[in-house]
Amino acid sequence: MTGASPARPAGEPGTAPDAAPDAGPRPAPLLSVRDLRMTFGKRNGVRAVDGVTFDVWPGETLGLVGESGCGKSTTGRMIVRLMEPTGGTVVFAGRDITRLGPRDMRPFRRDIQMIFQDPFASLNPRQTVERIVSGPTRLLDRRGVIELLETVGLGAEHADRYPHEFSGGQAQRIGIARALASRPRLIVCDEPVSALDVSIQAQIVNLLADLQRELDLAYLFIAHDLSVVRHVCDRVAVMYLGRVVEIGSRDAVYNAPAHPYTRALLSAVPVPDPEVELVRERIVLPGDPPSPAAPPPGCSFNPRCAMARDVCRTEAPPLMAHGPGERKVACHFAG
Amino acid sequence: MILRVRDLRVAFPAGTAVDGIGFDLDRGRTLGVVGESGSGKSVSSLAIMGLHREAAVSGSIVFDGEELVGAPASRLRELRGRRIAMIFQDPLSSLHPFYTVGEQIAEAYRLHLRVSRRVARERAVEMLAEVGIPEPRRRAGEHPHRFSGGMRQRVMIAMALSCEPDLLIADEPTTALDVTVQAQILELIRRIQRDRGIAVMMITHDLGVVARVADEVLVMYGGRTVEHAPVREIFRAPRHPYTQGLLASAPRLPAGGAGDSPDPAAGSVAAGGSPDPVAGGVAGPVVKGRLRAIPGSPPSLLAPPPGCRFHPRCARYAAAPDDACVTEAPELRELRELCVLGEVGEVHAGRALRLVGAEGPPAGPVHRTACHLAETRGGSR
Repeated sequence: MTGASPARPAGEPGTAPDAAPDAGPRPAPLLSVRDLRMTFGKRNGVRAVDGVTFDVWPGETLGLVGESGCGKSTTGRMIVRLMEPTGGTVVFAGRDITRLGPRDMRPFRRDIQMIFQDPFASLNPRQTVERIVSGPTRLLDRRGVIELLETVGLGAEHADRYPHEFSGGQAQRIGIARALASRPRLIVCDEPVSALDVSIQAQIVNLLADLQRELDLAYLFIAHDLSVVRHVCDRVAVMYLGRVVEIGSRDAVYNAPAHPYTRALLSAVPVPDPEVELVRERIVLPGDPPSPAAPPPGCSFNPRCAMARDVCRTEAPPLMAHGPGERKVACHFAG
Repeated sequence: MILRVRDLRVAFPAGTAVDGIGFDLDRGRTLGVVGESGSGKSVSSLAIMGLHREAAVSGSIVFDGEELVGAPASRLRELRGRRIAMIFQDPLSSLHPFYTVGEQIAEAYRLHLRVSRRVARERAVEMLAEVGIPEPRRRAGEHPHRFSGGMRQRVMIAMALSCEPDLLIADEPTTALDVTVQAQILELIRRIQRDRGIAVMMITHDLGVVARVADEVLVMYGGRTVEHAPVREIFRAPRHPYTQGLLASAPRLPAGGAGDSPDPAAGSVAAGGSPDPVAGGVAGPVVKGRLRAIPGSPPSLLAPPPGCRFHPRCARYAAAPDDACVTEAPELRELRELCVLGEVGEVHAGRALRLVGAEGPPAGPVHRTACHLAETRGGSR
């Protein structure tokens, strides 16, 4: 049982790897995704994920942002093996898990858990909270369940209730407790707060941050809300049409976005301050995100990009290092 | 004054969803209505549209001098779509899948203005062009499923505006859209409003959207108004603990991109520390980690808490409990002294002195809040 009781690498939790590029040797990444691909359909298939590469280090949060259809959720689902990738590899704690069979995958299923957007859709309505949290294999006894419920801000009195008796925020707490039951090292959070009210969002964000600190968890935080991502992540990857167009430390990406799409995306987010909104530079992109079924040739962003030139229409830019630190950008004219 | 709402109540058999709200809305102005799920913001807008069948609507809704509460259904039908138009969150479920987009726009236009088919079809094409749909003549002949989410919302806006309404109610019009498309749609609504001088009631949960488009803001909680003020005052000097909490709990982006100095940690006050996110001091914490959450969850309409509906979650009440918060619903009161906010204070100082006439206190751009504990804390600033 390789993953039964892993000794935690003594990495500092929450370290942003490219905050200090020369800070000596770094622990190995917990998760390495290399050239991951998902093509739906056989001939002329839809390339939902088209060669995605990134790492997640122990104890850190990587944000995966982008608009609908950019492939961020599909990427998350392939990492937890809810979907089988059509290409590329997923390496977890040094072991390639991309093609493991169900039996060999089992220890890794404990290590990699997932939290979903809609807490009600992801909780079995006919099971009590205790059964949901302890899981199909009865990982925990009642005492363990109650302990876990208390960790996520619920109580013993909730253990015998059913999902419909809870509010959205509470139901999401149950989803988090379930994910924690197997003592994972990585949790893929797929839009974990976007279905919740603003005041409840903040509660869940705080809970996730506390749990990360206490349990040394790594998160892959998939979200479309750039404000939330900025708040919770150490590093950010921006996806557009199945590819990562920019990846780097949170501050690098948010304070000095290098890809024109990242710039437009950030400028489009409304800021809750009317005086800022009044004077702010806003890049309104023309058109809609193109369909992954018929991606434009060259750089997939070129039809909406103000900087696009001839080379952008013929050649897809590779993801290349940009400036100091570990930022990478896929743009012929990154600035 | 195109719309004057007073003491609006909407009661369903199960409970009261809206419990006495009021506001004024002028032509060319935008009122942002903010609240979380169950706050009554959508129910209020449906009441203005006269779309409640099972509910008891009371109070007063005066549209362009005409009382709508108790008006015959036939009259409401005439106004609806013609002079009061509405767009919804999900454009796909508001469009008929069987008819072409052009037919659907033309139908409403023909119904209300009794013009020929040909004129109505031309109008549809013209409206599609106005809302920025490329190749409008060809697109008018297509069905809704051929349009993307943003394009569908443009179609809804074209339909809403085809009869030249005086009031547009937009209920979460961009919530289902991606941010880059949201920016396009908000820009479009603003341009159309400027060109035509219509009044807009923008219902949203997104404080950023409100900051971008609204002139004044009504904050709703548990079916009641907790604060009503010009947009800059809501964000600069929120007075109600709920408004303050909402602003403090929303994560935000730096203002202009580069050159932002990160604020020092806003600290973790959530667990019983300093109770009040001081008015105005709402700049979002930039450090990774905790947000200032509001504890608890929004009230259920089936069993709303007594007194002030926010008191079970209120940091101010927790710090200095007052019996009034539990026993009496606080009235929406004008703040006695407007805080001086430099130019903002000057702009609104004149309006704050507006006389209280026979029709009750003006609901215009003065700062009003419903909190028993507001003055004790607010006055000093």
